[in-house]
Amino acid sequence: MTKLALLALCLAACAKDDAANPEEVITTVILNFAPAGGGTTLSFEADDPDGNGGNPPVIDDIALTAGNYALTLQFQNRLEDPAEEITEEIQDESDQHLLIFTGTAVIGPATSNATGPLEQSYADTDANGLPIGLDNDIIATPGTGMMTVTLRHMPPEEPPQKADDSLAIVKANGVDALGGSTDASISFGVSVQ
Amino acid sequence: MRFICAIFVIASSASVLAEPAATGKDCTGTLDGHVVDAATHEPVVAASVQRSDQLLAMSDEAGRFMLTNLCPGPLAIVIARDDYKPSARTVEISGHTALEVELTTSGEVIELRDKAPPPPEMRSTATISGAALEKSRGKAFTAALADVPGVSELRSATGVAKPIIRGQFGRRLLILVDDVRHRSQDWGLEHAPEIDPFIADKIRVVRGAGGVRYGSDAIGGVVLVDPPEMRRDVGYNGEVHAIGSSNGRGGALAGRLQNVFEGAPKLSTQLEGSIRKLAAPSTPDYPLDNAGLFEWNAGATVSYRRASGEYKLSYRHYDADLGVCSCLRVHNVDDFLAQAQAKEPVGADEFTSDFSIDRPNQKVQHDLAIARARWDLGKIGTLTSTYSFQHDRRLEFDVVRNSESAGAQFRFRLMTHELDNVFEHAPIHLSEHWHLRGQAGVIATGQLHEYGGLSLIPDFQGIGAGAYAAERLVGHDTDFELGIRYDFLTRSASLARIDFLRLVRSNQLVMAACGDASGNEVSCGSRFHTFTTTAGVAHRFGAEWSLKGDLSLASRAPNPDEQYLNGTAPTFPVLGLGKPDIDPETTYSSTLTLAYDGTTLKGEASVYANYIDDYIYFAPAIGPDGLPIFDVLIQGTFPRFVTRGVDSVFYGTDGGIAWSPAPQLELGAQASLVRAKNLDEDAFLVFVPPDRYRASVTWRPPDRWRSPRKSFLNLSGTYVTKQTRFDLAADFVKPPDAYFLLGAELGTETCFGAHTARFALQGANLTNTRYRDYTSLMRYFADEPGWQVWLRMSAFFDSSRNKKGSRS
Repeated sequence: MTKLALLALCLAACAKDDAANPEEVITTVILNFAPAGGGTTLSFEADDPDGNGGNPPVIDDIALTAGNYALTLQFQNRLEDPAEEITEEIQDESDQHLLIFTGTAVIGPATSNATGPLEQSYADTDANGLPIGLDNDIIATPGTGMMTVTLRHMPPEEPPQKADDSLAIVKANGVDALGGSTDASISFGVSVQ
Repeated sequence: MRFICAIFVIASSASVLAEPAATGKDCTGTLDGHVVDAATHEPVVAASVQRSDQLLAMSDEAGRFMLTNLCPGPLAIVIARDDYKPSARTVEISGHTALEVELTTSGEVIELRDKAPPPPEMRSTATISGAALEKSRGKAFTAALADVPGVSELRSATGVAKPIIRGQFGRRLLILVDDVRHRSQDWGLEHAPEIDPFIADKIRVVRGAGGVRYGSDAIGGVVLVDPPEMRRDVGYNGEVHAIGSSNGRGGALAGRLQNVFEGAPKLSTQLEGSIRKLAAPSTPDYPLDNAGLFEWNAGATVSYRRASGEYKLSYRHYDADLGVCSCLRVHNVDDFLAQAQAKEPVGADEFTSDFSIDRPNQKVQHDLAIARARWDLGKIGTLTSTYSFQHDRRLEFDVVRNSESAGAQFRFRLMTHELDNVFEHAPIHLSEHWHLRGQAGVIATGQLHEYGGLSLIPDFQGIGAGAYAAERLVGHDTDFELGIRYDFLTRSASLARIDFLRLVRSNQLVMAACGDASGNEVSCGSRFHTFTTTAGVAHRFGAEWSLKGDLSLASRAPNPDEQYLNGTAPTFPVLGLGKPDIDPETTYSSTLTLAYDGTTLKGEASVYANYIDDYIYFAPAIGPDGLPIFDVLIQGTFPRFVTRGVDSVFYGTDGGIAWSPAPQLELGAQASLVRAKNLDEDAFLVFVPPDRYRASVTWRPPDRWRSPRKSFLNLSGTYVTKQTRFDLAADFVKPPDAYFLLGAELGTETCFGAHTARFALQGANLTNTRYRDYTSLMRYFADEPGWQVWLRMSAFFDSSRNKKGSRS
């Protein structure tokens, strides 16, 4: 009744907003490790199906056997049904996005580690010839540690943008020394046998 | 052409110069008079009140005069001032008589109405008008309030701010525009009031609990933005302002035109508009990239006057596009903390100061429509009835992928209907020294809120009703006031099931609290009954000293965000969760104000203490182990903040003095100190302003300088201490250092024809000090702006002066 009364008073401006998923919620990050010599692709997820808060995300431990892998990353919003694929949006704006692999488990362009079970190198480039990180080459050797995967969005509105020194900045001063904002940041436990 | 653009600077506070001889014991009558300008309804200062050739009184700064020991029967008086034609009036004296005299510049008294002027304010109130208000033209709304002791600003990451009075802001501080409570998203730190400062003719600031008239949540104070009175005699008047600013290059244009047409002398119209565009301001070392703004406003008012009342319709629209500094980093705790501790923002080398506004930004619109009727019910009193509708629209754009097509990430819409009826009874004369004034009112509100975007706050609807009464016993030296108010509010929020479950899983709500929770939308209802009572006393000791004190008890129902906030806040990297079943908070407040009003020295000092039972506080959630709770999200690990009731106390002192040791010189000083404590956890509360001191010197050329005699030079210094009382868990980083800011203003006034023009050059932060402010959201990311200069030109015109000018 009260609702009716209010609606009756409401002016024409009351039409409800419904823009199509502009909030870029990410609930799920999937890491697909495809063995270089062929074989079954191993997938590990960080999944928070109820979104922020409530139940914490379930984060798989990455368990691999030593060898070479092609690592591809996938981002989804599972609050939508069917799940919304965000990977393509990142690919479309790849000159504004950078995936960064840090942590004790990682030897790569963004870390200063001398040893670690995962040696990461970028296998894709954007229109400016800079790495993206949706496709990577991984050399896995026995050991354990942590790997943090960060999706950094560095649009022109928020200087500085992605540049050829971005990874050097992370290597020297950490991810938070970089411009832009973090869309996802997940730490996975890693063990390679 | 005499006295065409004269300004009266007469500090006459004594109103009774001579008293008619008391010839018998029946001569105990009093006449309480109020002299106002018929066109503007501004008080007419220093008007003489004469009987035959005997000067009885002069009107004071409020246009008031008081005659005592009058004998019953007719009293013939003449009220006069040089630039108005004298008004002769015969008043029938019996007991206490009240009289309002409207003077017109053309010399006709168009109306004489028995209406008593309002008694002096019982609370510590500051009025900003005229030159003080002009100083802040072209700046944010809150800049006008910054010189009032006890007031500071809560600045957001855009060019706008909200006021803090005695440590309270947002929900606990009311803002009224034309006596209508401003309804908007006022809960977030980055939400500033959507008010065009140009609409104000004066701004009144009530510090401390605001009494029963305005609502139970006026705990910190009330800011009243008063548009000018409508013009009353045939003709037109208006003003135009043009302001340019150097830092945050840009400027503002504003104008107002009031008109009464000859064919319809009872109809009065007003048009107003303003436009303001600023580029991003610069700190001493780098620009605050993207922090520009574009704002415009337009309004129209029509009023119709009859002998027994007045009807008024008005509509105002406010529209702003506010750029948020790209230095903000709130999407991840590590980024936020790294930025908060860094000397300058990441990427500051690439920051620019230009007019373009990119993401992140906010687009805000506010519409206010008012229909008001006032009926004079003769000897019974006055009834005023106001219906208002407000539409507040806020879109917040975050940096996203597909930014061209993505739209806004936070979309708020709040619609408020309000009906406010207030009856003021005519003064009741009790004895020769006492009379009673009072008012009673009923209020009804209906509110509808729609939200779309990232999980944050639900849709809700609310229906509220309130009733109040306040009576004041007015004596010659002493006034007493008592007020009581009751409010009822019912609110129904519609939560998406996932949001409802999030509150349940975070232990903010029990599963059964909202009945059937199986659908996609869960409806949670709540009802609140709140009471407010106030008692006050004011006593004058002679003509100069006065003391006011008030006690109040007020309970405030929680705001929807305090109940239902649910998601990562757009201001801080925290996961914020409301408490749907939180109880109202109850404030017990007391204030004592001592004032001195002499000819060369004026001063006021207040002390206050507020105890708040179950103060609704948004702060870090503490787990059973006594440690802060963190939540792992896909964006990283975030601290959890919740609303909860904590017993707390706010106390402090504020005041100011103005001393004129010579006619050309005025020295001023102000101080504001506030302390706050969370008693339950023996911790300090967040965003409580640090101590603030201000001193100023104003010099005016002596009168013999003829043409520039209305010029002035003002120097002011503001010192703000470092806040040493903080809670690191809620503040994230330590408060910034103390700072000192130097300001100056040079102004002059001139006449062109019969009109007035004023020019001023004003500077702020003239030493280009690098500083951060504890009550600014920017303190986590970047410095405050460096030195700035404004150039201001204002013109005031009035057709009645024109006529007079041509006649003489």
